[in-house]
Amino acid sequence: MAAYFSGVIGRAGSNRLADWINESEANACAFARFAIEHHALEHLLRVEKYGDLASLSQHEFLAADAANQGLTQRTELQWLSEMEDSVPVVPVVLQEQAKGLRANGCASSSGINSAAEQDASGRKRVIVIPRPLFWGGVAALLLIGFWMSWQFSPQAGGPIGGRGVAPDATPAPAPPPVVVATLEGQSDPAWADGESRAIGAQLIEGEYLLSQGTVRLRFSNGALVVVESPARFSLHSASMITLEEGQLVSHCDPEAQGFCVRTPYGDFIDLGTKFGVSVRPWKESQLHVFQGEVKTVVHRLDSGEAESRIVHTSEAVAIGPIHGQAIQPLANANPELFDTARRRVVASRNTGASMGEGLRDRQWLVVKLNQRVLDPPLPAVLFVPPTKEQLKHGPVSKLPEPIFLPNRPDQLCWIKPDPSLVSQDVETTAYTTSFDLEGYDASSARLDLGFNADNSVSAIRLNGQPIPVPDAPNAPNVSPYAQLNRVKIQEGFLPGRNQIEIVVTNAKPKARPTYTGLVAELSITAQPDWIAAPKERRLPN
Amino acid sequence: MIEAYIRSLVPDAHDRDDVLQETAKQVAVMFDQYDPERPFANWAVGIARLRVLECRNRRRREGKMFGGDMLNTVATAILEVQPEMSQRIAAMEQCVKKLKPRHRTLLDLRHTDDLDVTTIAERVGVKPNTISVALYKIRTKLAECIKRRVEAEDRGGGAS
Repeated sequence: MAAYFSGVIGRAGSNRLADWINESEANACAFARFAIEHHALEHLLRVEKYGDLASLSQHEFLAADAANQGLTQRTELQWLSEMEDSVPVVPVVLQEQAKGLRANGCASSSGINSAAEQDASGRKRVIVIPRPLFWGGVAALLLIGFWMSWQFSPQAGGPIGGRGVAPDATPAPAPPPVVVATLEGQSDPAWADGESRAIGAQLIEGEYLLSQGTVRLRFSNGALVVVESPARFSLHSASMITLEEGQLVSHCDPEAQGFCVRTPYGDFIDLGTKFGVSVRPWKESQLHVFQGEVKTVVHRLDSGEAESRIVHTSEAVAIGPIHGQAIQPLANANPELFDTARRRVVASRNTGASMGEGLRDRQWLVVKLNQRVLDPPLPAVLFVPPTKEQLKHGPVSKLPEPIFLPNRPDQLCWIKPDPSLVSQDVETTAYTTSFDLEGYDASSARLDLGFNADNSVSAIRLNGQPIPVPDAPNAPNVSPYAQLNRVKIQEGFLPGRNQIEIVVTNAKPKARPTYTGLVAELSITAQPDWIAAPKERRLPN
Repeated sequence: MIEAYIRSLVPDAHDRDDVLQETAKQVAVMFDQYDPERPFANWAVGIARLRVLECRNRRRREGKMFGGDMLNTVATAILEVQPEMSQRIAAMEQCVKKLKPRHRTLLDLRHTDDLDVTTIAERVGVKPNTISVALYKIRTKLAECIKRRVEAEDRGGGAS
């Protein structure tokens, strides 16, 4: 502990200290007392400046004898003896202390500094060592020093000094990151670390703080988790997440059984089910089971023993300090608590947002050129709209800049058919993209589409069904190519894979080169099927 | 107490200062959101916890900071022991005043000037081990003094 507070502890030491703290409430409280007292002492000493280094004479510390090793040892011993005539055998004392802490819990322990505890008879648990044996004792302390310094020593540096932890002060090489989940969908997310994670991003082990929005994670074992902000969570493995604050909804297929949601107050272990978990710091964790069974495991504060309970469909429980760390049944599972997850699950398909090699869009395909069906369909490619100079002979050149909506790489760009496929006489191009509503309630899906095209969009089809095309934007003094036309689609979705098709019509070929392209901003929202509309229909058993 | 919480979870002094500063700023900014019916300490520790977590995310690779689950464990423990600590800290103030000047100087070098044991030993011309043992014994004596005073106060009497 001293090494930790001195900042000289390494990864291994830190892990062992963490294990010790987690071993019992008493240990955690002992650590807390040490932290508070350590901080208070530092603060006190800073406030009360007791003089300076000059007051420490060399004679007092016997530096003048440093050249004489024997004399130095004797005088150091002499110096130390001024502190006290006995030297506590720390391991014995501290083991006693640790036992007391574990047995007594928070309320009865006497603090981390009480290394010289008293035993039942009131005598100090110290062993007086004859002076000739003192240095042997010091050697023994050196041997056990490392263990002692990080775990129990009440003083920075500890009885064996900071050198005892030196081997551990060098950080161990960081293990390679392990990908445990994939970001499948998101809605207006903001991460506290400032990173912008795109759909498809692979998430490694570690901690995440979602300050805004909703994200949908697919764990490597198949479990699907929707996390709602604000939330703090840690990804531990392909089958475990720790939710420290916030709420999530999990959907585990049979192959993902055993997926564990850990919270500060207990674990929820999936037995093949759909459930929601919320964590309110300082109060409780709640589990709401929408379908199937979840095993709840807590460690009681009174006995320290584990308690578990199987929670079934439509049941809910709460655990946490305000329930005495016992499993508290709630009235019913309440999907309404997980409102954000119900309403907002997003996939997005912006043109040009996933340009691959050769600036080919991997998500938007050209399926038809004029009357020619492309089999297989070919990826659209980046289209750099012509400049005003290039269009100076056309009527559009009289409009203010920008003539075309500017390309925003990785976000929204114009696309066009592969030039090798385009001839001067291309008049129509059909683009398609698809998205998967598996795991979502198709009837709740909404599609927001913003689009523009050179020259125009002549048809939009969702799964083959035509969607009315709104009139082209007609804002005054703005180029018709510099704004997005909007349409919302609220029906016609299918469970599973869906396809939307946009047909672009180009101006009739002229002598000079013609341009054609499409820009589309498309997002799909839907409710996860396992909690959608629970009031209207019973969930399957 | 907030400082102690941060101190307990952020080993690096510079990081600690940053976290403390960010926490103080956040508390000030969000103070109108504070619900007076809830304990202020809990609320403030909750804010500090977020800042500590951010710091940990930045330092994740180094592995010197505790895992995320420890943030709650330590916070809960600190809030739990906090009521009993004011008496102990008051006793500590009295006990520190009773230390011999050279002992106080040694503590000062370690904690106020933030010198490590080796540096102190070099400056005073003894072995680091000597300083370590001396510091340990000073802290032990301090702990015993605190314990005596607290027990005496609990019995209703004064402490020497």
